[in-house]
Amino acid sequence: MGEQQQGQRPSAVGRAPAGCADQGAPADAVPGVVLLAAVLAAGAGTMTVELAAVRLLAPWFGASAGVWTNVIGVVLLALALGYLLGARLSSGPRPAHRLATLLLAAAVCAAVLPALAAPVAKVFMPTGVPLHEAAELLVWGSLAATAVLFLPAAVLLGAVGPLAVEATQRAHGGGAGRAGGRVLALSTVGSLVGTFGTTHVLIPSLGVRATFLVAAGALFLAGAAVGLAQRRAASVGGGLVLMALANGLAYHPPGAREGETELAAVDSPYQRLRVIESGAGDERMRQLRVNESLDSFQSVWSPKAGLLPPGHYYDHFALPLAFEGADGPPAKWRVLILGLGAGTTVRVLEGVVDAATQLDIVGIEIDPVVLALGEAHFDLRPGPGREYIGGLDARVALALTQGEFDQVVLDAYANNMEIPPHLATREFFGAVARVLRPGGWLTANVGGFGAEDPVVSAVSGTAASALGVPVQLARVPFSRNVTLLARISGDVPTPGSAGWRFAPGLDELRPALEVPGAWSTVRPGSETERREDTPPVLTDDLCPLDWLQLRSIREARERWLARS
Amino acid sequence: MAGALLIAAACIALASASHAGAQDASAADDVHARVAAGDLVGALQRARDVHAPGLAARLEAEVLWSAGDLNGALAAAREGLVAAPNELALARLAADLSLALDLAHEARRHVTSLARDVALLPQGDSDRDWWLGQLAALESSTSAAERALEARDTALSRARSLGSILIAATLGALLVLLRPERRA
Repeated sequence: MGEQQQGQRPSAVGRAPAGCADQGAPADAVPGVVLLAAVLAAGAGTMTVELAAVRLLAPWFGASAGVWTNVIGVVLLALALGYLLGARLSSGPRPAHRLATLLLAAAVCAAVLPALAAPVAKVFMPTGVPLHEAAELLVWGSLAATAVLFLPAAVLLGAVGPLAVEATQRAHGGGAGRAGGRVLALSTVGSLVGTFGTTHVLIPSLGVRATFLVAAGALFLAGAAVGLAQRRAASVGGGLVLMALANGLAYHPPGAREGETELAAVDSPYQRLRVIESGAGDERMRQLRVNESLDSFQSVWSPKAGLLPPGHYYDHFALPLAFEGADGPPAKWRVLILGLGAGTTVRVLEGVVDAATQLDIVGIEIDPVVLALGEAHFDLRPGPGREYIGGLDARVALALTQGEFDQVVLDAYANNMEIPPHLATREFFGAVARVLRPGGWLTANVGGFGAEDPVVSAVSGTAASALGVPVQLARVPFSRNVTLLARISGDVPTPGSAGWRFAPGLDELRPALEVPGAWSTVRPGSETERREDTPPVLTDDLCPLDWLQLRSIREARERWLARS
Repeated sequence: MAGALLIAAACIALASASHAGAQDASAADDVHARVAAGDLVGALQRARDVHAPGLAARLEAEVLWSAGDLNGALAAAREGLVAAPNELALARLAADLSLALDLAHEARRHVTSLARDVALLPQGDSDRDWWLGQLAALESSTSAAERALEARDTALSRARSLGSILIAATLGALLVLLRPERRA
């Protein structure tokens, strides 16, 4: 940038020579502090728009690594274009005037983004697409929506830097390096403020729409300050009018479908959460839906505790109690739930456990807002024998956990269908074994299309290898889920074996598990027998679960297309 | 003499078929009773013992459906339709299962085949009206599934083209701006 700007600067626009600011400021000179404050605001606004962009799109496209990558990529590309645009604009007269105009335009862009999100997202994500059909659409749709929505604002914000450097240098002298360094430093500090402020303060306390309005407000104030310093009241007034109009526009994320009622909708630090109720009377069901959700849900509630209607994998978490209770209920049953959600598993276990059994549950949920919604809408009640911990990662919680459990339930998911990679590795399953008593049970929910599925194969093989015991896979009826069962120093009963007996009240789980193909076994040391194209054992070092997840969906589609 | 033998043979075959038919009817009742009692493995074995391939496949698909194995049920229905392509109930079941699995194209195939077979039912047949009603419901669900699939494909194609165009245009603009400015 330096050569062109320096070559044109004094003679072309008749400004004071470099380094001679005190000898007479140029006509559009803006106080240095105002320029640097504007740069700070632009830095903060850029990061706020970028981070909140993912959250703005999440109700339609989720917040997976693919969506994050698309948003970051598009914003970086737009910033690159903005830098060059700013460099071009800075070579003309009155860079500070252009800086003000760009900041005001960026403010208006940021303010209208929440209102534009729904109409743009719907163009690329029609309603009614099932989760297993949506993988490509989530990637391409989020890329297109990001480009349409965020390219303009990011280009404008990118142009701020070069213009601010030029305006600073012309008004206050010094070399390009000095002006550039000051602008870059303040811009980076602003980005830092925007990064922390958006994730930890703005979105959790104000929500997504207001976060964009705060960013727009900061950009507007910066633009207004620079504009007013140049007596450009008309531009500022125009920007103010547009901002006021944009402020009146609403953000419309997806709501309840026909026949449903939305009981709550809230943005947590991690995701957008909605509590949806359908049905009436004893037939009522509530679902906790996360981000795009499509046809999936994170937690479910029905008026009666205990087993849920067919198609809900949570019922399989009662299988250890079914087997161990066949000869009489255990005196005590201590359960650690990693991925508690709003407490569906708790409610299932509470409903099926024998009155003679003392049930103690420790539940870990990374998102504290999910726990709050669980207490408000899903009958999740902390108390004696019920310890629920929010805001803690399951792996960290596992490392901190003391004592022995009869059962560990793993039901942690990110982005509706991805097991967090650090909760599927040999090291993780080793840590699970540490907290289970001899004969204790690991039960895990794994999303996938049967035992041959790449994700199911990799996770079950890893668990078998890490625990050193056979792992059983039980197909969940009417769903895309498989339940993984393993027992420390013990055997899980299999259909037809002597131990295949169920406690009274849980026998209804048995018939569907006895159907051929519903149950399969993965033995430790069978890594070489499994799929050659998946890692034999997932480790903290190599755990490509997101890649396996995409393959799982693609292969399921290909299998069905081939068969039909 | 030969004619009498042929008639006798036909009578024996008819009686045998009728006996098999009666056996099948009772087997179907037995399958349903076993499903109700939670003996799905027994029900599956009983279904596979049924003589009529269409009925056997339908019963097997129904048992697997009740066990929540939709993929297995559809596979059984498909195999049954190969052996008994004109079995109306089986075609209807296959269409229902295809819809439950979001396989709109396959559902359309079964609905088309079902429509062809229902059209062959004699006018005034008491079953005909019932089947026409079933067909209309399936037709409506299949059309909705096809529309959803089409909407998905359209959205995907739109996202691919527009996303690519915008990224390419931005890169192009970037290259243009990278060129040195012309001096006056």
